[in-house]
Amino acid sequence: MFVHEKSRRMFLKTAGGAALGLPFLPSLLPRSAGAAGSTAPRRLIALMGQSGQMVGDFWPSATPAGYQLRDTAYGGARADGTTALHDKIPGTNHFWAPLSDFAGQSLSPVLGSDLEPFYGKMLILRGLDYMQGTSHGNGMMLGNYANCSSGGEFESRGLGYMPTIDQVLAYSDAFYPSTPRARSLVMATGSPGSISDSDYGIAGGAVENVPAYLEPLHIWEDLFGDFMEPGEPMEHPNRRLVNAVYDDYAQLRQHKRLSAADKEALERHMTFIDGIENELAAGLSAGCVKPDQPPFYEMGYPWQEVSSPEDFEKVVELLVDISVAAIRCDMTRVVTFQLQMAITNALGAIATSYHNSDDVAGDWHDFAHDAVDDATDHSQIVALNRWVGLKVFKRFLEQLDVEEANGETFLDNSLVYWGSELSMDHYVLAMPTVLAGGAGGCLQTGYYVDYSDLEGDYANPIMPWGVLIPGLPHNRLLVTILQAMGLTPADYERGGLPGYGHTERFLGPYNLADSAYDFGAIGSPLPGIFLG
Amino acid sequence: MPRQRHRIGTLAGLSIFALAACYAGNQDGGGSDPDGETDGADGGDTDGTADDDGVGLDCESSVSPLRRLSEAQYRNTLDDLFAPLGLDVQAEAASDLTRIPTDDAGSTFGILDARVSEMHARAYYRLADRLAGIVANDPGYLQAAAGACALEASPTAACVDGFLDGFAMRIYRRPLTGAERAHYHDLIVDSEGGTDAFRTMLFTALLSPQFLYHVEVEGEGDDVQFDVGPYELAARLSFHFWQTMPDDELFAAAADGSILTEEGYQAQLDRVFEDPRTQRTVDRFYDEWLQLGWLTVWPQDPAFATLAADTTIGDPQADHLVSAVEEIHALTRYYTFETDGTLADLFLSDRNFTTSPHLAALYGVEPWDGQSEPPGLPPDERAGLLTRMALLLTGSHETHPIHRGAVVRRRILCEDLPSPDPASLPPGALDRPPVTEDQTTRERYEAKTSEPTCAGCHVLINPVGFVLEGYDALGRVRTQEQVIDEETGEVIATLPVDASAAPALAGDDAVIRTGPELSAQIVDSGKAEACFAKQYFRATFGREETESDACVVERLQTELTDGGSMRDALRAVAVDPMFRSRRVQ
Repeated sequence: MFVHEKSRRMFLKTAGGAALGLPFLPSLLPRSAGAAGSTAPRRLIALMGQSGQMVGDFWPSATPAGYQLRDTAYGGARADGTTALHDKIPGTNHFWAPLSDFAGQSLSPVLGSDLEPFYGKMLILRGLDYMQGTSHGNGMMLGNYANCSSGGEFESRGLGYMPTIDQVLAYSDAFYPSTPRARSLVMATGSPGSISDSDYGIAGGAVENVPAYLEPLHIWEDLFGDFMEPGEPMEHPNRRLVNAVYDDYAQLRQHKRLSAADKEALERHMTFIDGIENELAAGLSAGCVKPDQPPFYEMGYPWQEVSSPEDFEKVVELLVDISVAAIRCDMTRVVTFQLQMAITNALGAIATSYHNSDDVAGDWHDFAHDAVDDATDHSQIVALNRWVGLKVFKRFLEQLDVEEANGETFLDNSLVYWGSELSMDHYVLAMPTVLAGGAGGCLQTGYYVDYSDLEGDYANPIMPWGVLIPGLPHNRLLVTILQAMGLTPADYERGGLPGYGHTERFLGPYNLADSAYDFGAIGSPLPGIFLG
Repeated sequence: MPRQRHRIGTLAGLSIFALAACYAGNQDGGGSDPDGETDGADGGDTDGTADDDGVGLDCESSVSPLRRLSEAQYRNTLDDLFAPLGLDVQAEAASDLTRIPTDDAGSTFGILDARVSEMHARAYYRLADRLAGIVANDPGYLQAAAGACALEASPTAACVDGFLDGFAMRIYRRPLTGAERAHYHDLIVDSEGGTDAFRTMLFTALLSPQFLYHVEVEGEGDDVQFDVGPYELAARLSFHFWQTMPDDELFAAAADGSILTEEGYQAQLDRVFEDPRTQRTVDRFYDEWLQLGWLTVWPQDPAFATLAADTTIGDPQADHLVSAVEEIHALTRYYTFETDGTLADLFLSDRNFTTSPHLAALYGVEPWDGQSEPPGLPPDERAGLLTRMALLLTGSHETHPIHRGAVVRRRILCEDLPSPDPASLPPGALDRPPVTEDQTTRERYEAKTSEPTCAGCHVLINPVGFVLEGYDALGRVRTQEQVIDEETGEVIATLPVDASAAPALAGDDAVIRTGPELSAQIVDSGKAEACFAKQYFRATFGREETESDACVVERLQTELTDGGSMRDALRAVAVDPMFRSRRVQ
């Protein structure tokens, strides 16, 4: 036999700096890696809508009793039609308000009132700014701030691309003390480009975009297709063969006529083979419910091959449902979902809209750019974002908000992060950010929090697009999430720098000077919401 | 085959790489020469190019990193591997094939995407599992793969060896070593009977690095650089020209060693190059280089309907977009494979290559019959690739002179014009200029790009695009522009087109007015050959060129610059000794 598990595990430990190859037994997974709160495992689910949007349509504009609009409270450049808050987070200059205060009203054109059942478990965060003057970039909301236009500049300054935080978690011993069935589920619509960038746990390895699942059937096959019924521990017959394949790679890797880069490529491949082998190991936890096998929808790339909006919507539902089933079975604790295509009903019937970088007339990208001047495009961009909130974000919450144990739901122990690529046009201030789930008690939920520096002198007078006022570096949200997931700074900080994500500035008209921000706290979680 | 030294002189004014890079190549090559030969003393100037300036490129080998099969190569190889069994992979594994991540290198050649991700590994696993299962469970397939003996309950060792020598050899693209054969014999000890033994071997082999990667570690030389082995050379030829595995004749030439002889190699090169699969590869090159076929759906808006009102273009029942790409394929094939055409012919041809009556009507000619000598187009209206519908379509009712100009500057001439960074521009800077009834498209874009922050690049881009304003958004020749209301489709004005501009591509500032004049400037610029050489290298070698690749790129450029045929130029890359060797790093 060509199975040399012991030496192989040692190699992976060396190559990846992480224990990638231990036998998988879900029951051995620890309940918590966190410092506080529930002992249940934590999960991160991140989803991103594409392009910029009219943030005036996003932020709460309701005025229940006791509230008024900024137009009344402040006037001037701060008068943007959104709600003025009046209570400050104790000990800070930041405002917040219980979301329950807005019950019974539509929060905003994008958020509506659809999410009201979850207000107690949600956070709406305003005033989080990407530090880069930026363009489109899928990895930014999760911490890889090198984007499509600054990528070259990043590299020329010697700034390496950074793994997105979901991938930091996916390859962290602190987050996964034992190897999970799938380190992460990376999903997308429209195109296989994802919001996840990874070094696959290989220290110093190249950071690459992780190709995403588009097809629900493929996730089902990988996670549930070889399902071994509880109580019938048996190993998939392919596992032995995959182990032999691994050794084939290991043997080739020793060849003298390969360069260091060649060997790294093989090592990376070996990491993935190891992951597959792990998926073929025996047993799943009792109570794990195997979802029905979905049909094959042919949701491949290119995006034009989507058969109908109805099929597309069904595919999105299935992607959510199957990924949540995987979470509930503790097969994975990390899910990311890039929505490069979505549904709009702005013209009275549902239709798909793709975010096409070629700026094709009538697509999501075009709507975002033309929304300022064109009422129809404005309605399209609102409809697209509203669909993301209602059909994707809310569906995650509904699927997760069922009891896990001890009266806590899966949602209580998870963090669902709905973020965005840009705010308005190519601006990166006041990034639309909605969180849900308490991360096992690490987060104070139930609030609309505004980190904008309303007392400063930075009002950006670019009406009618809205008012953009600097707030806090988005990096601090990354720190909040990483720590809420149970990591310590030693687990994620790099290069001796505090926090996560580059803070080097690429200034342009879409962001603000260093003086607008306090970088002294860049390594600290966001104030008010992190309970530790 | 003894290692050959090859030096090639640099071309004044056309050098692709910096001089320093050429010297570095020399130093590296000399330092790692295991034969003790010294640069400049080899006498191996096999192409006869004079090294009269004393500066030469070491053309012995180039660094070729270990690469996985590209998406296309993997798909093609699966098809060709299983076709002899009668197994249609596309039909039998449709769902699993969609798992293969798309090779995506942005707006350049997909083959440059070298990522290996978890999704790749999963796709390989699923396809290996699926195909091994199909073959093992179908007596017809299994017998075709391993012989009738494979159907026995307990296949003999000889039967297993027959499979390893036959089908498994095709998977590995070389005979298996003794250790590998022993490995498979060991592996099937625990299998569940006859067919499962073959499923086990097939599944495992389809996941092996020898199948999924271009493994090149054999051949004469040291561990730094060496001539690749016969089977590896056969695979290089087939993947370079066909994007798939070797065929039986290549395997045979590797097996008897004839591929390592000069005569035998040339014979295989000639045969491979003339095979229709080479045309398929070249077609794909043009598709990606010129971004053909990016438009797959006709616009359905009222404005486009107005533009196309007096044509049959846009009829959803007729796939005219495909016809537009086929026209480019027909043109490039004609000058590459059917005649001894040159690169200049690609840019200057005034013949009609469309067999579509709909496209021909736009050109004002009858469709070509596809067999006889291609007929001429109306005089002075069109010349070469640039003036064909596939390159003139905008996907809208209005032209896009900036896009057209940028395609010429960036893709055809390889000029380094950075894309505008939205982060450095004011809001709305990249939006299309609004339609007005008193401005042509040219005038609107002139106003839009006249800001000092834009003008630096647009002074180069705009004149090229403005000359092409003589063609509308469907590619029809025009002298007047219909200004169409985007919402209603109503023609709100008809304005005269000004297509005069001075692109200065060939170094002078002559004002030109037509597509043929622009194409002539491209040819006269002297940049097209160097650009083509770079682009073709990237598309076929699957990597960005480095200093160590300078020779092969420059050889291709030299062939094109000297008026050589496209046929000879595309073959030239495989004639170069570098093609038959590998430097590890």
